[in-house]
Amino acid sequence: MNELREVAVTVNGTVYDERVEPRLTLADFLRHSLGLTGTHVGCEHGVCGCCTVRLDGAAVRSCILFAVQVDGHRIETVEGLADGESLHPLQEAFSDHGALQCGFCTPGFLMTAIEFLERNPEPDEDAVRDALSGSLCRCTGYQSIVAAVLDAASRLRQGA
Amino acid sequence: MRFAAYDVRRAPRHANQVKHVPGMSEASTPEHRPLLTGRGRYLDDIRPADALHLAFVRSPWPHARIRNVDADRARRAPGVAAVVTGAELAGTVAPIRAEMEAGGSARYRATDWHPVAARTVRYVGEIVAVVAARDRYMAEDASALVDVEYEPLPVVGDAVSAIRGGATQVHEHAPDNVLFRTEWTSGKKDRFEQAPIRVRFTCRHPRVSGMPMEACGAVASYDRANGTLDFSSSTQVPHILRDGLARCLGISAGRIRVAAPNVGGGFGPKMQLFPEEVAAAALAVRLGRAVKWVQDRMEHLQAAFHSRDVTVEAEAAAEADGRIAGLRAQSLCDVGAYSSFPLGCSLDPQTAGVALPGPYRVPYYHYIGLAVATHKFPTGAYRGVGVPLGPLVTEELVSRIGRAAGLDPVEVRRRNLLRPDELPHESPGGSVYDSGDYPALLQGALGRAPYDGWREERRKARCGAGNGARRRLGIGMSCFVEATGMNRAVYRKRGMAHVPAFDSAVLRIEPGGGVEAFVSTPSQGQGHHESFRRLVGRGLGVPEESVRVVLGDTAVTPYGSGTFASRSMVSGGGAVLSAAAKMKERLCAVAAARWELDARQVRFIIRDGAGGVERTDAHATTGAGIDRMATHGPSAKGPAPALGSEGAASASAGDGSAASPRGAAGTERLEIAELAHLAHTPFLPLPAGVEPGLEVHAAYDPPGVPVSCAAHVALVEVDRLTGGARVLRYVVAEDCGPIVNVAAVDGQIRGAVAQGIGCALLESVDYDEGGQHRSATLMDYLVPAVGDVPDIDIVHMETPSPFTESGIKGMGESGIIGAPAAVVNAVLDALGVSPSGLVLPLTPERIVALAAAGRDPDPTS
Ligand code: FES
Ligand code: FES
Repeated sequence: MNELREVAVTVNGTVYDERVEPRLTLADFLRHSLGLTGTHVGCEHGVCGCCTVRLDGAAVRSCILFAVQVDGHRIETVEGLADGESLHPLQEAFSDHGALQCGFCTPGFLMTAIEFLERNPEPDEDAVRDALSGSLCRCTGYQSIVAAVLDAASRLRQGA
Repeated sequence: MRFAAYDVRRAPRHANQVKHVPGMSEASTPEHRPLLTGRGRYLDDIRPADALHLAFVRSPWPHARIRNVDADRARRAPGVAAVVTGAELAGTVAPIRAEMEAGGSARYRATDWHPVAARTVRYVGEIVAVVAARDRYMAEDASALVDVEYEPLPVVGDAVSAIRGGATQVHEHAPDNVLFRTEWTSGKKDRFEQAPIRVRFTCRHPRVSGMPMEACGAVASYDRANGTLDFSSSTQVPHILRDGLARCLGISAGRIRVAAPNVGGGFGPKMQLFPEEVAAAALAVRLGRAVKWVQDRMEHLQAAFHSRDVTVEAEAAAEADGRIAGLRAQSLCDVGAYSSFPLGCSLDPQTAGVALPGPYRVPYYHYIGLAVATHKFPTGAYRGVGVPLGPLVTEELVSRIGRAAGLDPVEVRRRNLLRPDELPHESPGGSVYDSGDYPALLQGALGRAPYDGWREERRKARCGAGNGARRRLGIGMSCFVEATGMNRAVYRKRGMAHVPAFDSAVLRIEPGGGVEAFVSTPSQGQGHHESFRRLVGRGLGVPEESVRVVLGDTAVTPYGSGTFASRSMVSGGGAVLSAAAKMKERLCAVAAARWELDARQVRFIIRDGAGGVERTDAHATTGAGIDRMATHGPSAKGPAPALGSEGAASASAGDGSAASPRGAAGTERLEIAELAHLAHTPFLPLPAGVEPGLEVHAAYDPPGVPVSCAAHVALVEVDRLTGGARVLRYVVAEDCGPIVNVAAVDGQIRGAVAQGIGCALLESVDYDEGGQHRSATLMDYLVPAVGDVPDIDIVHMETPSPFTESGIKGMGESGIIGAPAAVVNAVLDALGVSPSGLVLPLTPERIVALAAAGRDPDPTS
């Protein structure tokens, strides 16, 4: 169980080569082995969505994946979203709409929404609510998050 | 010293006129940037190099004697540095104990809650040993190797069986399992007894939990050389936590530093002292190494403070015209195995009792509140505490009175709501309602809905052929008040001994002119930085961006209560404003020294948003016409300059117009940056009594308790076949006095309403009769998701509280106080039922059962 395995993974464009225990979750790998603490752990059982990252483009829950499963794959986390000092339009929309209070759920919502918006550049409110239905926020009551995602869609369409 | 009302000169806004849409710039705040980019620093992001990680060995039994704890195997497990049992800790760590000074008829029994149990466990999840290992994985592995021999004992599974004669005792010193009892009466009974209308209702609010998305945790390290403990915690109350740790560890509080990093939501649970925190601190001291505890969600569901679990049985009487003649109620609060620190187990019975009369005229009131021990995890605060029980019960009673008197639900409320001219009003619950227009709030909410439109939709659903008998709509409403920013007098009356009940602020202007504000009420996402920045910026006339707000670190922030019970803007904000007033005196003193004048010959004035001090002596060419009353200084009489004001016009109290022309430069006016320089240079001689530098401290005990008020209306759809209930529309009309930051207020309301919908329809921490905890995951404990919460329309009124200088009223809990009642009211309306008793949450099973028992209402009404 404790024997270490090699994991080669590209995270936000950087290649990492690490030796990990097979039982190490992807969330703990990102947070503790790589120090990318932007990915949050809210439940460790796949319900809250706080730990959402992108695996080869798809939004996945890093708390119920093992690090060894992503060997040879590409991961994107919230740390990779902004372009240097300039925020991604989705992040900007979150900021402008006050779509966060404590911010703990935010990385998960951002990574879920960005994937959704790539697939659905012109969503209506129902589609946005549907896309976010697997993520929990205890602070906002969701209204501002839904508004931010809708607004981000239009900003992205305008190439903001 | 006094300071004028905060920005109350703004045109008054009325319920029907104003809808705040959070403007874009209004909502964004610099504190969000790191959180949006993954650079926040939450508790688990603190990673001391050599930290040991803790895992707790917890009792699987709700009640058992510990016969033996064998930790040998665990101690030999890989990576393990220490395993500590209750017996080993008992000598060095005092139990968690909440004292109370119960006055009047109240009776209270404190409990000793050992952070690590040595002899008896009293709930599933109680800690029996602590493992410290190199990482959390290893610590958990080893915790499974600790062999504990238990002797199971009989269990008290709920409050009703706890008070039955012959019940097992949870504590030896509480033979009837009652830890707190209070009884109040107000008014005369005769009218109540003779009144022709009598209605009854019993409601059980489920055991719920604040469930912040970031669970709890602590990082502790002890410096043996200096004897100091550095303690980070995901806490709402750094100073109370520090005091609690000091008591348990026997270390002086001054040697403990408690700091809260970014906190991923609080909502109440994070204001209690956790046994894990005491254990983490004790291990750090014992091992001389950093230790880290990060609570996982399962631990959180099992052993982070639960709340409510309150049943209220009530009876109201009314005259034939629907006017309330009196209210009689009893609450039974299942507080679990121990009385938690700092508030103690009287919290729910006391606050439910305060809330039950609501915003109504209640000539007679009799209340008994009981807190009862059972073998469950202890309860503590969660947003709203016992207050939501008020509207939950009273709103249903009022609706029933309306039906008995043949009145529409709106009309019966109108007849009973206190009118503005009746305020201030001393409620039989003990609060003094200060200000506001309760009927206008209800009207405002109904108008926004609009009520007539909703009634039409309801009528259509009742006779809608398409849906057969399944789909029904119901309209619910709730009117309520919320006492906020409670002061020392309230906590004294409540007997709560561990809440300082004041808050403090330190303001410092550094030599370069930048301003720092240190405040004792930290933020868990409520946007305090932004709000305090505004108070300071507008109060002193400095750019808001130049104000650095520092919160949540006992090493630098002044002593105070912390963030809970909707106190931050009232009490923390009051401290900030009070400090700003002192700062203005200091600035005046420095300017006076510079001009070699008496402090009374200068005054602080804001021009075009910039603060400065001007001379008012005969020498000053600009001094003519200045109202003497507005002269700044400790001896000033009458209203001081308005702190929220912009420009000279409103900065000059007395007369509204600019008393002196702009641009008075040089010796006539000194800007804050110049004064900051002068105050810090040795070249300006200062008269005796004037301190150099620009640093002021203000401790603030609100002179009165501002009571905010609101009305909620909800349109809820119920499927009679599946029992599903969905909130379709929701309107809040609220009055929290002058609003500092409307985006923050709206955010608080929406988040709290969502939580209230959860209490009504979804959330419940379940135990079986044998005391086994059954809500181990977020698939068992249902937090409202995006599909469960509709858009929430908000109408603001702003009536300043006459009880405080700023007039600001707290509002952090308001949403969750009103929402359960409005939603439950609407579900019952949809089903056309008036059950004698109701158990929340209204799950599909319960709704189906209610529908089966109900008659279908008249489809034409
Ligand atoms: S932490 Fe992964 S879903 Fe909750
Ligand atoms: S912002 Fe706090 S949980 Fe979403």
